[in-house]
Amino acid sequence: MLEDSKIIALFFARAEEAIAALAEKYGAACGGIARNILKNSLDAEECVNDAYLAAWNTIPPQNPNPLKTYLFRIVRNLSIAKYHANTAGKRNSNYDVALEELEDCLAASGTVEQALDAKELSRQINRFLAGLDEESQMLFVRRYWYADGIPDLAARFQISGNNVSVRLSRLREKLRRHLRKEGYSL
Amino acid sequence: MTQTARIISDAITDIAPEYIEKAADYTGTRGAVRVRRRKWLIAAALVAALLLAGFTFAPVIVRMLNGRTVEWDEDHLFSSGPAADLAEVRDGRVYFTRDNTDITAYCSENTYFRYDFQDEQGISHVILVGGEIDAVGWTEILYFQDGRRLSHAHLATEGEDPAWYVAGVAAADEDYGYVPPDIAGRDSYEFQVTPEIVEN
Repeated sequence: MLEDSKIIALFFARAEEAIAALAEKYGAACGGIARNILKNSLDAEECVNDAYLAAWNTIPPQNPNPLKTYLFRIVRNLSIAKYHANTAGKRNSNYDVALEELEDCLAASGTVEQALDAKELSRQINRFLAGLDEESQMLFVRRYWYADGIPDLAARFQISGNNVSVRLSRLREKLRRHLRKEGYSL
Repeated sequence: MTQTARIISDAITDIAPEYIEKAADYTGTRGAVRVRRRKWLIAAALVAALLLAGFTFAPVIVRMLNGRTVEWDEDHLFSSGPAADLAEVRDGRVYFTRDNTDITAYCSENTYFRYDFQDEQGISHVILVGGEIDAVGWTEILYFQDGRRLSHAHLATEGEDPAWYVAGVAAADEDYGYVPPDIAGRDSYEFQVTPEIVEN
């Protein structure tokens, strides 16, 4: 597989092999992210292809480093947008379940809207993550950014599903305490 | 979607890229730092015979999930029969051949699929499948009740063991309480395993 810098060079040269190289290297992971959110293989494939197109349209002028994160973020955003377009009122994906967990955690008093905007909340989550050990950081990110299901997390982290659930619950409680300590009225 | 959910979703989307990058291939720390285990590798589709003079343990004949038969007693270890692939790649997906499960999401350079099974003799079998789509490999490890361990690996590598394999084997060893001879201090197990391999 090509190094990221060589794939980027193909994009800059407007060589269509860039898409094939991107798909070969990151296609499986992109598909996993999209399927976690969409729970539909065809929609997931469409989002991944749209992400390749978006990469094609934005590189150049963008020169993302790391390429992987840039691409994954596009896939995630497109998948979330498609999910909302497809499923008004129907909620059943890993993404929904993960989001509801955080919603329950953060919106306990129903005042998140008044207390935080997305940028501030993101800043606080990043500060919260910085204070965690690496494994907890990764567990949080895999659950809430990649929308991994509990069985997938158990396999990835080599712990039981019950252990995953307990650790996530503790992390959400820590996050709630972190926000409260920072002066947010939750 | 509520306003709260939208705020949270947007905030999570903007988690710092370094965490996203690191999490992409993260596989936990349980097998991260381990002593390298001595393992007994039997090449696929070959007959392997190994003289083990001086050992004392009950003879056993065991059928591995990959189809090979292993006869093991205090004088020799004999493994025969072709090994069936425990993983297949079809249409860009990875399948565990025992039950045709799609395990693509579990397999990467650093992550693996794991299947545990105990046979009627009480021998525990652990199957690990990992690697990127163009380098999928698998291994079957047998943990015997007397502490012995036997493995058969089919790895798509010519150099060092893949990261998924190292992590997976270490985790399985820990789960089954396997203590390698050099740590256990069992002098009788201290020998170089050099199977005599004869082509069928």
